Amino acid sequence: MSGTPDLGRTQRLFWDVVVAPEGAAAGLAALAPANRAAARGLLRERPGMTSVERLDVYANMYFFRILDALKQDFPGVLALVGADEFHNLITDYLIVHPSRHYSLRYAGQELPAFARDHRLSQAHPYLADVAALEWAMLAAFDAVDTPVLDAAALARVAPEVWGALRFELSSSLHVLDFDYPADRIWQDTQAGIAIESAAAATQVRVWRREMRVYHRAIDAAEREALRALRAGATFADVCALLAPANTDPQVAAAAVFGLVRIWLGDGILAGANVAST
Amino acid sequence: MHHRQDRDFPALGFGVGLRSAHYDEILAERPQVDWFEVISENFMVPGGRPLHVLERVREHYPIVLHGVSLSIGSTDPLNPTYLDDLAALAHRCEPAWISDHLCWTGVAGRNAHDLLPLPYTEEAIVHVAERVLRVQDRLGRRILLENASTYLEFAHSSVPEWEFLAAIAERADCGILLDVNNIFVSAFNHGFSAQAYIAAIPIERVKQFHLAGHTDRGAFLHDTHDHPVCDEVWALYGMAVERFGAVSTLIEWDDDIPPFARLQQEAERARSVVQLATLRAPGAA
Repeated sequence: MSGTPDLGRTQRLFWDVVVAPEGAAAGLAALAPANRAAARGLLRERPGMTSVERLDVYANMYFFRILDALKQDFPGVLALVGADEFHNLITDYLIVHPSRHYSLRYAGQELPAFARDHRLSQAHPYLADVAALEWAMLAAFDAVDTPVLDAAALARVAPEVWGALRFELSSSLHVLDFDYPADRIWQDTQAGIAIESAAAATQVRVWRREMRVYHRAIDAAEREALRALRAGATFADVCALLAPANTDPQVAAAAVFGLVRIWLGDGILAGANVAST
Repeated sequence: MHHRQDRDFPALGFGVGLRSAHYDEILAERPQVDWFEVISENFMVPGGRPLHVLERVREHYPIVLHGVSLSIGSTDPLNPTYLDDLAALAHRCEPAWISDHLCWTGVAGRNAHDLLPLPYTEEAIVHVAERVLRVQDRLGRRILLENASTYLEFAHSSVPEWEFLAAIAERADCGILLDVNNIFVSAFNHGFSAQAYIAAIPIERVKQFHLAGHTDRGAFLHDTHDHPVCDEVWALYGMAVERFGAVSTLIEWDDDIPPFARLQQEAERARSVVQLATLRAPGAA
C-alpha cells in the first residue's frame, strides 16, 4: 500500500501504536514492515520533540487515564497487590480487554474474570473475589432507582394471602458466591490490615439504600431464598425451599418471616404483590 | 461589545464544571455561579447518586451537557446506543445545549477514552460534517464542537486547524465551543499563532468559551486542567471576547480540584474581563 493513508487507515495505524503496552517505539516496531513505514509517514516532523515522543504523549494519556479510573473502581485490588503490580495487572488486562464501552465507567467490566486467571492470583488467591465484590459495589452505586417496600404496607397484607406473595427485589441487589471471605478481606484492605485468609465458601449480598452502598455476608439459606425470589418464587415456595422435610409449616414460615424482617430493615425489598397463579 | 442572542445557544454568563468533589457543597449552599457544565457520560448511568445530584442541581442552575465519547471523527459507525443514552439524558435534564470535541476517541469498537487528533483534510471535513448533521438530526438540536489540544500533526493535513474547524461548523451548521486554553496549548506545541487562530474563526459560530489550566512539560504544553488559568490565556481570552463578544464562558478544573470558592474566583475573573472589554468597546458610554 502506498500514498496518503485514508482516514480509516490513519486511525487504525495510530491506534495500534498508542495502545502498545511498552510505548510508541515498541508499538511501531511491532507493526508489519509496510504498516510501520506507513505509520512513520503519518506525522509531520517538527523541532522540539520526535514523532515517537509525540505519539508517547497519547500512549501515556491512554494508559494512565484508564489506570487511574480502575484504581478508583478497584481500591481493594489495588491495596492487595500494590501500585506496581496493579499497573502490571492493568497493562495485561488492556491487551486482552480494551475498553469497548463509550463510558470509562465500564472499563473494568472484565477485570474480575481476568484476575481469576492472572498470575497475581497465585500469590493472592482471593484477588478475583475481591474484584467481583468491588464490581458489584460499583453496579449497585448507579443501579436503576427502585422503591423501598414499607414495612407498614406489608403489615396490612392479610395472613391468608402471605403464601402467594411475590417480592420484588431492589435493582441494586447482587448476591455473590466467593471461595474466600471477600467482604472481610475487602474491609481489611480499606483499614490497611495485613491479609491472612484461608479459603472459606462465602456468600455476600451487595445493595444500595438511598445513595449508600452496603454489603453483608449471608448464610446459604438466605442466598437460596434471594435467588428463588428473583426467579419469581412466592413466599410459600421459599418456605418449602428452606424447610427440611417434615418441618412444621409454621416453623418454616417463621424462619422466612425472620429473613423478610431483615430485608425490610436493609431496604432490599422493592415491592410485594399477590401472585396471580 | 455585543451580547449576541441565539435561540439555540442562549447567553448563560460564567459557569464552572460540576465535579463530584463539590456535590455536597453545591446542594447544601447553592453557591453563586451562573451555570454548570457536566460531563455527559458521568450521568449516562441507570440511576443512583449521579442522576440524583444532577436533578437537584438542575432545579437551581442552567446545565450544559459536555461529552467526551461522541467520537465524531471516528471511522467507526456512530454508536446508536450512545446517541440514545445521550438523548435520554438530555430529555431528563433539559440542558441549554450539548457539546463534544472535534476528535475521535476509538476505532474498531474500542475506546481510548482520550481525545485523539484528526488529520486536517478535505476527507475528514466531509466525514465529520456529515456525522454532525446526523447527530443533530438524532438529538433534534444543533450541537457545539470544541477544538481539542493536540500534541502532533499529521503530514497529510492540507489546511490549518482553524480552517478545518470553521469548515466543519459551516458545512454542518453547528456551533463552536472555543477552548482558549487549547488554542494556546496547541499553538505552542505546533508553533502557530494563537492570535491568528482566533482571528480566523467566524464570529457567528462561537457560542461558548472554555478556560482551563495546563502544565508546562518543557518540550510541550499539556492540557491537564489541574492549574489556574495562566496569564497568557487570560490575555488571549480578552482578545477572544473582543472578537466574539460576551459568549457563555466556562472554567474547567478536573484534577487537583480546589475548593469551590476558587472556581468561583476564576469565573468572576472571566466576568471582569468581559466587563472591561465592554467598557473599552467603541460606542460604550
